[in-house]
Amino acid sequence: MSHRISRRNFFQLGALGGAAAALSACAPQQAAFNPSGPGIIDTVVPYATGGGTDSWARFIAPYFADVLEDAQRFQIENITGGESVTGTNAYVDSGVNDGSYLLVSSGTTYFNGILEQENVRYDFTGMTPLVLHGTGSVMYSGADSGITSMQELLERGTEATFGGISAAGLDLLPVLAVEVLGGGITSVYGFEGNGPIRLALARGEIDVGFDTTSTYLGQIKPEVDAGEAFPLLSVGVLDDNGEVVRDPAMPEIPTLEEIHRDLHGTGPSGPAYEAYQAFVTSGFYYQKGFWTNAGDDDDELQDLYAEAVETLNSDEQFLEEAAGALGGYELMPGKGNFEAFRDSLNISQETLDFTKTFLTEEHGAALA
Amino acid sequence: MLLYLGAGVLVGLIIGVIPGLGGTGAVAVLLPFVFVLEPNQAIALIIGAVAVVHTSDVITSVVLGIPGSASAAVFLLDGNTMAKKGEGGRALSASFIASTLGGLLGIVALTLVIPVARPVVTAFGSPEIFMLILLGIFLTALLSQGNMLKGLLIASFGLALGMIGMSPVSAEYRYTFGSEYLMEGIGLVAVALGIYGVAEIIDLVAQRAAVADKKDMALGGGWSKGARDVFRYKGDVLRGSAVGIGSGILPGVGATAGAWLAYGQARAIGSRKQDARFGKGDPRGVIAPSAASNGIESGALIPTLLFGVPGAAPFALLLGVLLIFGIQPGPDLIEQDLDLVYFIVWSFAIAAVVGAVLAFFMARPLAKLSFVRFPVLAAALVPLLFMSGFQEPLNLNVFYVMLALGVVGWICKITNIPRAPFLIAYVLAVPLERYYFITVSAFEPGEWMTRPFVVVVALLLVGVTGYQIWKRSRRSASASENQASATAPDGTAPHGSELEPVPEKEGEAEAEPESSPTPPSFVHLLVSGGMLLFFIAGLLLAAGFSDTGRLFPFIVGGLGVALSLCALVKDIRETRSSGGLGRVGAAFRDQLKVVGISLAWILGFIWLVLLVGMFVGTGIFSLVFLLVVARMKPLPAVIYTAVIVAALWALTEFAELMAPVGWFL
Repeated sequence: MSHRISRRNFFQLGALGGAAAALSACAPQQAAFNPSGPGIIDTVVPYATGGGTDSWARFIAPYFADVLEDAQRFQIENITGGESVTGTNAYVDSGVNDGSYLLVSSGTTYFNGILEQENVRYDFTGMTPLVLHGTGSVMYSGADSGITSMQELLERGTEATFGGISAAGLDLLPVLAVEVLGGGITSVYGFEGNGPIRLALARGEIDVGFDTTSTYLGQIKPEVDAGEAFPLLSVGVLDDNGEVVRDPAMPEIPTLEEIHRDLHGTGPSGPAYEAYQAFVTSGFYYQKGFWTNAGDDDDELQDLYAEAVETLNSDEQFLEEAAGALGGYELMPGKGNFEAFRDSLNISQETLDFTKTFLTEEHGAALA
Repeated sequence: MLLYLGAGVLVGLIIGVIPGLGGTGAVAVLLPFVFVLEPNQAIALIIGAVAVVHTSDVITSVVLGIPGSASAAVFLLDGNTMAKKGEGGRALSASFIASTLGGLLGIVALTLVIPVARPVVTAFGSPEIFMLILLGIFLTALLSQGNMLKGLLIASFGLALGMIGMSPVSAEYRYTFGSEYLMEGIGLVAVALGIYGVAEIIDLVAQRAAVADKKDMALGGGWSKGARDVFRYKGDVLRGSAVGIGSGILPGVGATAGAWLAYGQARAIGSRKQDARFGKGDPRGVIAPSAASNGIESGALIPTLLFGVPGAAPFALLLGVLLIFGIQPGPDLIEQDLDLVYFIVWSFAIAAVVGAVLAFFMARPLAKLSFVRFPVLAAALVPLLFMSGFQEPLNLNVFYVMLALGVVGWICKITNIPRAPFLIAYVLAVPLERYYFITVSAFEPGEWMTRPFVVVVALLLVGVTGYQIWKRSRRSASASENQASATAPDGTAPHGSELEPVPEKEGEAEAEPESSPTPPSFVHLLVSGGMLLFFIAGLLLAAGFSDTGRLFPFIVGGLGVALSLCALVKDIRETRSSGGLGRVGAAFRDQLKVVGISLAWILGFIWLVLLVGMFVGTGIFSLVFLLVVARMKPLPAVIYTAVIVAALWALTEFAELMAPVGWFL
């Protein structure tokens, strides 16, 4: 008697569970576009509150609201998940393209698209950038490693270790750069952030790190001056003709292109370099930006924001107040810069396959 | 400036009380205001919130038995037990004073340690952090009251769930089944609230009882008693703070693990004394983790300011704010911006003291909640818990996961399996894997395994495990001899040292006198068998991962299979010795019925939200629930429901929370 009732309960529970499982597939899509009202520009940040990209957007946005006539304020909405894939998908799914709903993106967002990561439903070559902003980056070694230049690193070969966060993120660039130069390096991926990497470098656990300009100037440059760290390579910046030149923030550090010419007599080429260019352009030269879904009013929107960027770039007060957020690099209008960006993302299937195989087989990533 | 500090303190206290929202939540609430302020005002706002959030999140854990934040789950052991005995006031005042002292001690340590911080942090390499994480998981599994074997088993379960999402090393998605929600993992808040909060609700809802058992016992006298406890156990305050500060200084250990380490050490040291009642309402079980939780926050300031490495999650946000204002943390900060460092230090100290005083005022009315009939509370708690869990993933499937974990938590409760190892293992799964791979790629095996700290921790692990097994076998031998004389000589602690796991039936009888009748033995068999199937499935799925991505799933799966086989063998032997699978007694049948009804109510709530969204769904659910289950009169029920919905709306409006959207609304 008692057993039977328990079994019935058990089946009831099982049925409930089954129903739940069946229904879980049809949970309503969240984070659908829900306009805040006229004059308010809702802005999706696909990264966590208070992270680098979020802080950048929250700091910059009010200045644009001041300059743009029709914009009262920007309402930031953080939709995190899947290394920024979730929020970007949600934005693209909304299909809004009238400028009332924008997306803030960063290097990792583009990389997930280039590498065709799981669940990606967006394509930045078909979207429109309104504002772009770049940063530089430096590859450096610790004193314990005994490596003081790129030449020495290449001679050391795979005995040297590079520490990075993720082989599918910004930290794939240094290993790609070494490959372009014809060398090899051992990589240790899995660090939580650039801070722990600097500590591991100071402890001598790894030999080489990679960090952005602002961190380099603030944290690593003092060590370089004290002889405890050595800059190896800077990704440089694009000049007006689209050529890579030394970063004015650190004119003493050579670029990959220069080092290649010094070592091999010619500029770099081949699939590794093609991949490097795609990643460095989207990951650094145009790292962050405000984007919109493509639409008929694109030209108008682009002009509007290009004007705002121009106003801000000539505003001494803005430049002074935003010095920390800008890290020494000017804001750029999407207009006129998009072509270079799109060209870099359009890499051949061959190059893509090469990159995936290289990262998977030599650096422990698992890219489908 | 004090105004902003005060505003931060208030926000921190309120967010702390809300189940599931901790320091990160508090800073996130403040963030929209931060960038329109001057740098110093913004810093004061953030420091104010971070310094007090762990003071007030204890209230929820102690009073309601639902964790105020993931790290406050530790207070469910002794703090909540004290509240059940009517000593909630004593537990809270002890906690507030201890956490203030912990924060202040941390600040003193901060000022003393600045000159030597660099060698300390650099001496602790990846191997040391890896061993510390391992120690954290093992100690909670071994020291938790209840079934040790199943404690390890549930820890493996936590590790397995912690691996859902992107693997730290190979950047591949594991166990996500193509779901966008699972790409970022289940979500810590959802896990903590599911395994503790939802489990508590499905157990209590239909019982119509209050959290505290004895209604006649006044809260009043306990407050000064708590203050005396802190004075009496000042050693625990000191050691707890020290453990907290240490965990704060070392990036990667984290607040949740730090609080449990502090609890573990207090218990290991305290249980040598005669009067120890850990797990049954010992004030030291509240004091040590309270001191630690604020110690962690102040200790975490050291790596944040000195190396730009956030020592605790909320400080990642502080770091972001500093950087955006052009303040570069680093060794230079101390030399160039000493004023700023002192400003942060003093803000923290003032906030810690003010927060404790305010917490006293908040706690008095809130503590009365433990005397309210639970269904009345549940009408508000169910929507609140699920909404908190929803914030990280922003996907409604998290509701089902929370419900499923609630069932797991409830099964743990009735079969006397400790839940702390599960939570700790879940939190530390990714850091464990991360630091293992960093360790083995940066060092030769002979190099890292012979580092002094690594050896010490390894010996400690072996020693504690050996001691447990020895204790256990000795006790089972002596138990069969002296079965008749159940009472131990000293009378207070029947099992001698509290370190050893209490035999299942007795431990349960003490923890929950009437509410949980002993489940028949086939329930234990089902648990072990279910775990076995779970781990086998995990192993099979792991075969498809890359070489680096599958190592930890394989280790955890193998460990899980081995442990569940051991548990199964033990269960079968016990089933034999107790004679058959056991019968479903009347008491147990009633309990199943109660739980079934509670589950149906929660499922009803979930489907309502799915259909008509958070606000309308909550309105319908709370109203019907209050009328039917809580048997409230119509007018108060309508008013109460309106208050609940208004509170949820206020959270979305002023605290930046997102309300789930349904199909139709």
